[in-house]
Amino acid sequence: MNTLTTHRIVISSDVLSQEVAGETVLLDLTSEKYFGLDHVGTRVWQLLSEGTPLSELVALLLTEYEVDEDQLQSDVSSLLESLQEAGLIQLEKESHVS
Amino acid sequence: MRRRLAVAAEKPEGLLNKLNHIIDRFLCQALRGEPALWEELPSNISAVELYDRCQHHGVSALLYHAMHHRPEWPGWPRKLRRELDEASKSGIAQDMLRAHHLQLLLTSLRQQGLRVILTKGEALAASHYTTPGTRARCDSDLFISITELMHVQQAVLDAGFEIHSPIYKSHQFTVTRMLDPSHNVRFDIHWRIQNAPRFARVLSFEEAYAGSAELAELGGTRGLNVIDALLLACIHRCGNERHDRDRLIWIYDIHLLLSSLTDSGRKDFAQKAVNRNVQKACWDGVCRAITSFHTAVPDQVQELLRAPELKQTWSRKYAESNLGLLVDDWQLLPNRQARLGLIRELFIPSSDALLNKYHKTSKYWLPFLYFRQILGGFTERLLLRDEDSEQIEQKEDWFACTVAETGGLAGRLVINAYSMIMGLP
Repeated sequence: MNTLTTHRIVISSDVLSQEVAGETVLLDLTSEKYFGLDHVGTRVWQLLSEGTPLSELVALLLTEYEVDEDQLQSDVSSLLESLQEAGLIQLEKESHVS
Repeated sequence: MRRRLAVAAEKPEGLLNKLNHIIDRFLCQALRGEPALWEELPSNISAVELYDRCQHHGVSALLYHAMHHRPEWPGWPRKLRRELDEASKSGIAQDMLRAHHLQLLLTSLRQQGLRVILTKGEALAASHYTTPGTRARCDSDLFISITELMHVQQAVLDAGFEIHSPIYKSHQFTVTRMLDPSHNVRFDIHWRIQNAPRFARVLSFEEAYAGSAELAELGGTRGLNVIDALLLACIHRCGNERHDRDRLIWIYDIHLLLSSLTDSGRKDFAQKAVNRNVQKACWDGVCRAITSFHTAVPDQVQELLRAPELKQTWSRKYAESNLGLLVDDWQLLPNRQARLGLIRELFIPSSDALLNKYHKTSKYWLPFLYFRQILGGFTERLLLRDEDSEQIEQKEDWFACTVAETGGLAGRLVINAYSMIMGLP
């Protein structure tokens, strides 16, 4: 939880996205690689694009999906790690979080 | 970018044609939104064969979007569903990539006040497809005025694109931006609506531009109006020798365009086809759309398109020939540099280009190849033939291969004598 909530997500300026029928295709212009997100991943991407802070993101998803909080935390962490590894997002530490 | 599902087992040609026909009917059924149960297909049709046929027709991504939410979808083979899903994602990604570079190119053209119309797949994807990425295409076509050709070339270079030869002789040139060693984005910039001489004068740039409409989906870039786009969709498939003219994606374009017109618009289209003497090509396209996608076409429109075309007169034959078009281009090219470029490309290309064209590595071939090029320039291009440059070049390739294969000893002797005289190693 701490890892997530103490970081701010920045979407790379070289990433283009297009949502089609509930799924999203992300394209990294730098590497020219593309990635697919399923329905839940798409919702996470939407929230990230709107600038939703991570602390709120998890809370919001908990209201939208019937899922155990720990499981959600783990899934979101794993998705963000993958996105970060692919260079699609950057995790920036927020200085004001205790 | 693609990986193959597996290799389809070989079948006798007759059986293959029959199976392809069944698959094509099945694909049309699915694209029409009718139930498409996998069990309905004969058991000797595999997922690989259906996927290959989708690729052949350029409808993989379109099929995925038509099917993936339908109740019969889970009954399709898992691997096929995965491949079609992948094709869809790849199509959308390529579309975003192409759109990004297209905007760079268009911005550069706009900044210099140059007029451009987007045509064919790129424009139709934006104007007529719910998801542009589902309209498969390997390049984007832009239509410009020949009088602005040199400025367009400069704008293209300014935007960081590379121009490929030939530039003048085919009424179009290709520009690319290399992205990684494996692929690039490619734009074809035309100053004739169609490369095939038979159809090259169907619509002039000025007329097309006057009737063009803004494509809101592409930031106000101009595209052909629906009637002109339909006319082009019909003649394009008849003038294109590279692909099967019955590719379903082309027929689907015609279906979408016809469906977006009112009855009066369809009648205007048919009348314009008759006025331009291309009703045969248009009737063929419309018939395919009716058969494949059950497109609604009023009887009056069908009757108009069935009218016989005008007989060929000498002046018409000249206008629709390579010679007629080259003379026209020569007169319209904006300066002497461009005219010289045209002559050079037709008759005296660079030695590297010539060797490359005829797939030769030895410089010994050059005298023969130049002789062939000059002779070919006069005989093939300047006779009143209506083949496009690509068809002509295929014949030239055949000639060079024939010379290479049948010349044998006599050829080698002449080459050796030539190299001795010229002091070549």
